[in-house]
Amino acid sequence: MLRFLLERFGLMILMLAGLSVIVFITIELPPGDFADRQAYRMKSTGVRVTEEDIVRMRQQMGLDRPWPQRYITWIGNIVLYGNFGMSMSQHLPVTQVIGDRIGFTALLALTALAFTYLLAIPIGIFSAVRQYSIGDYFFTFLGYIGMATPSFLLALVLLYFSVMVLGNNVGGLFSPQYADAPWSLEKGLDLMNHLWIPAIVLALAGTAFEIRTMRATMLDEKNKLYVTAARARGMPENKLLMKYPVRVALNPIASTSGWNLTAIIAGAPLVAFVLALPDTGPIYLNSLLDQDIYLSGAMLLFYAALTILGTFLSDILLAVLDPRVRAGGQG
Amino acid sequence: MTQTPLLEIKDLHISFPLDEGTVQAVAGVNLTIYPGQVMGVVGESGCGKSVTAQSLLRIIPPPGRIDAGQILFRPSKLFKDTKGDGVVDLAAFKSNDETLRRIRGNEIAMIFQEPMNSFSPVHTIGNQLMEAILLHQKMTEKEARARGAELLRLVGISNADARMDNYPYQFSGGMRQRAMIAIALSCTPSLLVADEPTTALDVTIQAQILDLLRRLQQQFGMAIMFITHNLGVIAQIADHVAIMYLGQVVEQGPVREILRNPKHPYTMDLLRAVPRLGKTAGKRLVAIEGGIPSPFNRPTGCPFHPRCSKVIPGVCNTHIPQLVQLDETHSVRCVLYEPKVPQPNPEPTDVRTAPAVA
Repeated sequence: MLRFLLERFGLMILMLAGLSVIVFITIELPPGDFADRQAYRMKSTGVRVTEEDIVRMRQQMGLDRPWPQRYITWIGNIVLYGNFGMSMSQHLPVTQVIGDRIGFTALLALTALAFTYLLAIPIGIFSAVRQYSIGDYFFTFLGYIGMATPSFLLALVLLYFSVMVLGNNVGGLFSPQYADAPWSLEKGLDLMNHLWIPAIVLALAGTAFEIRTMRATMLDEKNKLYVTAARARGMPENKLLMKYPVRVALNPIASTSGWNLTAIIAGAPLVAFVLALPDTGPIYLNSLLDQDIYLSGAMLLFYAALTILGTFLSDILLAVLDPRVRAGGQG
Repeated sequence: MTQTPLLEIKDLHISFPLDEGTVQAVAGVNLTIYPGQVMGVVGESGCGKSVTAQSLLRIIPPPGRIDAGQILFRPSKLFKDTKGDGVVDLAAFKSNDETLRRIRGNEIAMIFQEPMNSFSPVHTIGNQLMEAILLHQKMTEKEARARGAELLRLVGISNADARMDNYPYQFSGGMRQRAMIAIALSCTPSLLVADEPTTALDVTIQAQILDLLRRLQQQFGMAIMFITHNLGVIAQIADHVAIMYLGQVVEQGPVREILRNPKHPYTMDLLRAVPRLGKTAGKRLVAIEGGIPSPFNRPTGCPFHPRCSKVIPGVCNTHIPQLVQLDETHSVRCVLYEPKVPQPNPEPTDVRTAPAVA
């Protein structure tokens, strides 16, 4: 087990290193750079900008050096000093721009993840045990709708529902009276009251998918010989179900939980944008548009790192669940 | 026989309603097993022998259902306290009945054809063995573990204490079947149902498992219902044998009697199809004509008549043969042995050869 963990951990570090290169190349890919964007913006407000001005801006920001050199400086600062560079558009350190908001992004992702599993696992079990019952058809129908609905559309629908029916205020994570108030129980409750919409929106597709996975594996497992064998030795039906088919059916759920986190994180910026959430989403989109490379790079790296961390955690979970994985595929 | 039967299956009918039609898997099986007896049940694939075995524990896979008949069983432990003269009809229980659950594994235990799939891959052998013990016996976990290891030693698994913590993938097929036998014996049942327990194993392991079963049967004195399609295996282990064809027992009796003096044409054909050292060398084995008919379209009359070498046209395809008791223990279901032979029907109504009616 320890060897397995060390192996996976080493692999994770390697992947992170490789990923940081890819992230850097990706944000370098679009034509032009922040200097071009800045010049364009100044021109459109009537300021005269010459070629020399642009070149000078480039030099000031260090954008004239070749990318491998800039990559080394960038990643070196991150690894050695935890310094993610300066946001060019906001003239602030990147850590300061993202800092407050990254907690909300993480909270949102975790809430969505919790929603996914708390709903999907019991519903999946129910659907499999009562296959072809009305309940099964109901959840199947709901599941297909869930998979087919674009998340931004659902966000708008739920927003409408929340405002018109429940009387909450529009968007954001806090009601106006709590927005700048210090943390208190009421503020926490208010946060929860706002958090459920984005959490549901983000969780929906994953939940629908995991219900299908859970149901399908349960249906496969519950008629397997080892289940019949346990029934034949006098195991009561409910205990039987929980100990054997459910346990085995959790494996595919555990092994895909990393992907699920990825999907949630990838969907988060768009949903945050629609719902005007003060998390990292809107900043991320703007930083990409502005070609504010250190800001967008830091965020892309953060999202990617979360994904890899998620995969690492799901690997550990799977190893805990399945002895054959612990043994490293021997035997 | 004056002994009280342990198990009496009476006129059992089991069918599987499927989209394509209803399959009559068991069509009137009668079978009696006495305490301590090893009853071999033989037949080709699809003759209903496994379904009959599964019906004893009521673990027939869906949508199979018992339509008629009784499965009378005399539990040895269940009514010890209440002093009742306990005969229960297993066929009458709901499949989730509490009494039935207490019979499963405790009074009647079962081992299966595929030892590779009989264990959960994510639980240890010891866990599943202790589960069987703790379900029916009052013991602490520690005692159950000691008992489990003792059972593993009994079935010939060395280093049993350490083996308790192994997962199924660390066991070979033969060892898994041994462990399965250990689970089956854990509550010293009075009847062990063995559904082709050696079919999936290679020949040397087969012999070891058969030896083990025979030895344990003598040691524990339990009855075994041993299901197989292999007459050679039957000769090694069984006292009595029942030959099944298309959901019916067509002949039964003591194993020596059946092997030496078969009466039913199907039994005779089966015996001719068995290769024998020396006798059949260099000759072609005799195969039984044709194949098992489609389960959706049972032949009329005697189900074996389309393949039978002694078929009497006009009789076998219309007359359902009655069970004939040849002597105290040997019975056969064939018109050749019926005392009053029915007259041939002038107009045979064989549904398979008759032209389709528009």
